[in-house]
Amino acid sequence: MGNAVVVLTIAVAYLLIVLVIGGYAAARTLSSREDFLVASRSFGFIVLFMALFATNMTAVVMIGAPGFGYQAGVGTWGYFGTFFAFFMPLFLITVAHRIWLAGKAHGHVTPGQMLDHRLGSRYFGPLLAIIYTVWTIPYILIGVQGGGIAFQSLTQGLVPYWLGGLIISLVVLIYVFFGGMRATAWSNVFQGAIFIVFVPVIFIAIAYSLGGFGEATATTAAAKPHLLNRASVPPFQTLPWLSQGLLVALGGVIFPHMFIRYMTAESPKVLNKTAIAFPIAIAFLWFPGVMIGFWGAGQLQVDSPDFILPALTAALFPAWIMGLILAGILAAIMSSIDAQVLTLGTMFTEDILHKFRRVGERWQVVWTRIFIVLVVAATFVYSLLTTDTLIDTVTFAFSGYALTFFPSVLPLYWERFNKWGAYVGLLFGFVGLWAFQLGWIPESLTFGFYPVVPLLVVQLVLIVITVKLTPPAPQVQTEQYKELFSKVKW
Amino acid sequence: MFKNSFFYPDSLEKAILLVLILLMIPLRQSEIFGLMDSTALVFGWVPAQIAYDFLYVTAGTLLVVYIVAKHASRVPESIRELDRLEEREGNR
Repeated sequence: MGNAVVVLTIAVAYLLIVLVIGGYAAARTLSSREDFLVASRSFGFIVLFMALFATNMTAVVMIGAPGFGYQAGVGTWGYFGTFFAFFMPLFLITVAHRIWLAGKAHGHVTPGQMLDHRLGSRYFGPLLAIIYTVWTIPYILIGVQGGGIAFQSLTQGLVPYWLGGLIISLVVLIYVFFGGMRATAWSNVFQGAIFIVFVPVIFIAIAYSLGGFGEATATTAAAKPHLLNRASVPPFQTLPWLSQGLLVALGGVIFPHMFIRYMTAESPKVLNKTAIAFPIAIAFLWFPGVMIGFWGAGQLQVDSPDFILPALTAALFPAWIMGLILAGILAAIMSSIDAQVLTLGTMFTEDILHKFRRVGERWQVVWTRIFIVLVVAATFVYSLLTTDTLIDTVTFAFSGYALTFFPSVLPLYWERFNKWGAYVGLLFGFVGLWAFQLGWIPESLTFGFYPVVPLLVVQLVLIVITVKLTPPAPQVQTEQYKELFSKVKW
Repeated sequence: MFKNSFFYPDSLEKAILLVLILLMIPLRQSEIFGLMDSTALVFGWVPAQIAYDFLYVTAGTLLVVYIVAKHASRVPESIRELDRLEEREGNR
């Protein structure tokens, strides 16, 4: 019990710091829509980088990477993150520049707003908001679940699962409710700093405790040599490996919460700097995370792979380090949930409510806050009922996001693109993925890939055919965007 | 379709950079280098697969850093120009 109190004390200290940062940001947040939702597009390099990075890492780095490394071996990093690591920077210096420009020029704060304006459509934005919501809710849910489990296991039951989930939900709710985008981003700076520093340090400490890097690897290599390579792991075979690389790269850059954050940059130069720092930070986290899980496989047996990091540290280190582990896990989880919750609230208000009802600027912020409360409450209740696993849900949700890539990105490059191509692409991707998931389309039609790959190919063909056969987007908007994007010199 | 972007190179150097980026897709498949069932260790402790992944990300990062440094999109006088555009829209 004494150890559990130490762990809980450190976790509470972390949560209080986050609340103080959130409160400080809230005190500087104006009640205007532009300030609450996109912090008046004022973020410099450090804040934008940490906001994008911390939001993107989720619990996968602190829990999933060691967990999958423990279960499947050292191929984990290549499977999830290596292609994404530099596709993201490439995206930042190409597509994100245009997103930033369009947001700045026309005052957009959501993907749906921008695309509706560009395409001269009325219902594409709301449809996109609904589809994004479908893919984002399970993601938030995983965070709340992960927080509950982390609290319960690391405090040895002192904080039960339901209370852990409730604590995370309430803390996120408080700082997002009062501080909007600025509070989430400033909190992310602190949260990102925690795991950027913490993961490499714990990596070296674990290696040292196990007798050095060579000894730690040799122990696992002797006990479980199949974890040294990809040969015996089904998802690591050629076509699933290729599929996962593509779906993480395409899905990871087009998350709605990332899309909105591209618009918060102070200038495109900030996006360029972020593009350079992003892959370096990923390498510093994924490599140690996977190696910790790999080493753990030679030392311990755990019921759930996701808990190899806490189990290993509990076996090797004193309680205060366990407390830091819990703080790190909470930081990874909360830095994603806050952005996702704010994004859903923003999309509901801007893309659906404001679209069909005249709402004043002040009431837009009020409605965003109301929706944020509803989303947090709903996911907390759902977390008490669900038994879904993390990896399956993440892969499915990533596939869903990846299938919004072409309908969201092509309008920023292809002048002839129109709303019909966007509708067809979006609906085909959504329905197609569910059809594979529910078994309506036979698995043999994936040809060995994950379903997202054949779906992306057919989606692109359908979009091109539809656009060619239907009238172009209204001339006024097309010219406006052409003029706007002509400012980007490549 | 992709004119005035990285995906529509207008010089030999930019074309080479685009080809190199596209090459990174197949190069992620470590089986090309016979690493699918490798049990070799680099520096005596890093399994060959993850060592390759590290090398791959490093190469990709250097490529992107070069692209950003030499060829990243420029948005000239961005804020002033955009503010002018906003004013024009406001006057409509």
